[in-house]
Amino acid sequence: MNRNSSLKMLCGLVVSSFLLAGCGKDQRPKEATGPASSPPKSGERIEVTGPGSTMVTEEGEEKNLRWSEDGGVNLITFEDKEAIHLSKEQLGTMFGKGKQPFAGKQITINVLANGSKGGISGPLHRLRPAWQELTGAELTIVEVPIAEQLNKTINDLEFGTGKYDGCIQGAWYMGELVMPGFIIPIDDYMKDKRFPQWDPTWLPPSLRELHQWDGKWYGVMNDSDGQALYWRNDILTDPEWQKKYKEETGKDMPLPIKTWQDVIDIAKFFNGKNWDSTNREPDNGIVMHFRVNQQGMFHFMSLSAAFVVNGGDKVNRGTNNYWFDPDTMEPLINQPGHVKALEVLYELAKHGPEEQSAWDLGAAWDHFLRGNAIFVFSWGDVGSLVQDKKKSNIQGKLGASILPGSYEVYDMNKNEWVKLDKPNVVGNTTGGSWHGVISSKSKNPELVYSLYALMATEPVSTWNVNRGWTGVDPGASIHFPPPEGTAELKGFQDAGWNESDLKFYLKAYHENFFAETMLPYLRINGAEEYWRTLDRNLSATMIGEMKPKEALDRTAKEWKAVTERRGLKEQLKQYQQSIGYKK
Amino acid sequence: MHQDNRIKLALLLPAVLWVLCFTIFPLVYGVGLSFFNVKIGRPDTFVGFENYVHFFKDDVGRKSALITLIFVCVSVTVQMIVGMGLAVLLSRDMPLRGTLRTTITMPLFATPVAVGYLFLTIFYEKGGLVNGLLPQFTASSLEEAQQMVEWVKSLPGELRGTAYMHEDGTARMKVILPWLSRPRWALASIILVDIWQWTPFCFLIFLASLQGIPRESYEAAMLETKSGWQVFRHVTLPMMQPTIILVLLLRLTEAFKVFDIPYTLTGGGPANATKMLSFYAYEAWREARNIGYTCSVAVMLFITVLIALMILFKRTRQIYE
Repeated sequence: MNRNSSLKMLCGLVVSSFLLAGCGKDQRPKEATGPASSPPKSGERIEVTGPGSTMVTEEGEEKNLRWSEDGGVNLITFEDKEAIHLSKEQLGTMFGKGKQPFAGKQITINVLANGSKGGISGPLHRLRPAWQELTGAELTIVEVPIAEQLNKTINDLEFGTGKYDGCIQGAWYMGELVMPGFIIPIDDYMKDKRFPQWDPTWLPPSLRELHQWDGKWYGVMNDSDGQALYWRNDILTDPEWQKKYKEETGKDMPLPIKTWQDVIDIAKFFNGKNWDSTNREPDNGIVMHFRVNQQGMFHFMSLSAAFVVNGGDKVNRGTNNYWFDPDTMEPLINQPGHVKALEVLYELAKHGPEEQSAWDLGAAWDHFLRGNAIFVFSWGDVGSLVQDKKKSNIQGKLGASILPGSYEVYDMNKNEWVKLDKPNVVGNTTGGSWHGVISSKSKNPELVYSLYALMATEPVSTWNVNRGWTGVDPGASIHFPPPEGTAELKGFQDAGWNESDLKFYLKAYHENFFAETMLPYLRINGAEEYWRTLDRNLSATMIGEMKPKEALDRTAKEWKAVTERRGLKEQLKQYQQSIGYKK
Repeated sequence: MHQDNRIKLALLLPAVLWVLCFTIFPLVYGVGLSFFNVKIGRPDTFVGFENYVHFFKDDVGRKSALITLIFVCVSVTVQMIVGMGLAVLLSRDMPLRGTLRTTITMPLFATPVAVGYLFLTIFYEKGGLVNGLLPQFTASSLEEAQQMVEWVKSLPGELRGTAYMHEDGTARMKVILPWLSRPRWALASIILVDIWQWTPFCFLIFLASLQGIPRESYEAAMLETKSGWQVFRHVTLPMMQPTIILVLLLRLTEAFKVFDIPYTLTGGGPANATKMLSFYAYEAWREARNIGYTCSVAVMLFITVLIALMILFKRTRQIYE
């Protein structure tokens, strides 16, 4: 081939690439990195300064700490160069100007692979230079994709190589790591005034449990995951739309939303109508995500809680229980309450885009953020992402609440449906609530704890929660405004939050995490395997391959096999411990 | 031993050691593991053929085997036919022949994972490249456009449509192909991507082989017939048979092991619709961390490929004999 023809071919390829790229209107989701890409303004507790604020010594060395005369310190964050102020008491007695108690040591932490400004991994990167200067130690961050993290951690611990000193884990790893003694309890460190100070009572019992096992603390507070219902408040409160709703259905729009049936009714009315002016195409009532091997099963768990979980003081088969019979380990996933819930989910999915059976979480969020769906029920990240004008068309138009309930709930003790006067509303901690745990193989557990504890201090935790891109969602009392908590709205507003959106958001999450009845969390050995099985059968239901009952019967059968393979006795013991069941 | 023999042995030793360490040992070890319930760091339990029996009892496993077989048959057949067609076409004198040859081979050099993500964008159903290129139909009213949508839905092939008012005031209907959200379409998407990536491989080898056929053979054949098809059938094809078998052998081996494209493009779904055997084996390791079972699936895959290879080798031997 001569030079001319090569050149022609190259030009042709470039031009055709551009032409082809322009043909399809690309609606792929952009990377969800959150709203705070522009630096926030100054707050009272958190002093925020511009890029020039980092201290530079006479030798030209950049400093990542700025000490106050009272013994407190400003931690300067990586790249953003923002300052987070900690008082002397918050910092702990171990640290101080010129101390560096761990000089020369090194630790390695593994975390989700989301990059230096991505969810969960981002905060570690932001804090690393300041922590290194504070301790004198070196921190290596190893990013691992979510699908590999648990296996990589376990392989490291089983082989005894001790490559990782700790891991920012999803709450469902807990049983797999605690039972073989792969991670260590931290109760003694928590009482120790030498370390950065955080208070476990900031967390509601629902989240506290996720960090504990059999009464001992293993995890340090960081992220709080739970699903809430989000909606387009501007549309649902529009009198014109309310009028049209009444004309078409003969009923008033069911507001405030109390039950899943209300969500179905509203979603059904809006689905297929072009109620949003952002584009010409019809919009949807709801959006979900059911791509297999992703996170579709979380939709089912959160929604089904209202039909399955009965509250009360006890824990037994039918009370404060969801997954297995705590006496026999018989799977309960195909009980009538669960089946009814899947029927509701299937009905709800009909009022969303048909493409959602192939969508992942990012695609579903993107659909909502572009203003194409009335409802989404998902994690706290949605509230933060809505504030990012680069990704969202709906800032200031958001409504949010705890997930709706059901007027009937199945009692698995009596094997009968129970009718209620007010809906059974159940909070959830669905998701990872990603938090740090310490490997039993670590030679420097104190050093690892000092990192996690620093991230859990009030100023650092609040800084993370205020900035949605961190992936650290609110859950502790320090994240909520008075009277429930101690946070100031200003911190969020300075980070770009719309006030109306923020009030809905914080109220929803406070109600969720502090709810009277909570969906129990599955965190025994093999939790992921149980969930993946459910996920695949859920996907089969959503594409019409299986009926809800058939899908859940199959799930139950597969769960039984998983339990048998992993050892019935061992699994039962773990399950009883994880839900706090006592005979 | 004679010194010459010792030298020969010494020269052979590195290669023998290499094969023993990196081919024979992992293979034997893998076959051995398939008879155990293996968890890293814990004692292994001998389970005999239980892992194999479990695979045949597991309908997801059986379905994976069937899907893999469909994928291999369709994908490799199309690649061979199109590759051959392109090779015959581009072995003739024609304008831009060099440019076309280079362009056709380009997909071969792309990383399969990247290709998977690229096609995820291309097949994206709501406004992706392919669906964006589909024609839109004008209707007299939105109601009529909606009726057209219903009509499209009633057609075979699980097609969808959307009706909307265009900014010029006309009602429009747009067809949507469910590339990734319906099982058959998702499998078709993976097959298409594989064809796109691997047809150039067949093309390249066939082209080289075609150019090695002596011109005299064609000249002699042309004395007998004027039909190009007859010449192709009775001269080109027989002379290319060893190459065809070689390409088939290489493509079969690779196609049975396909992983990256389903992993990135569909994640094995919807449900289990595109879960190939290698993906199934990977999931067995990832979720249950049961290496024994994973090995048993790998061994079955290996045996399947081996049988195919043996048949093809036998055929090659017959040709040469």
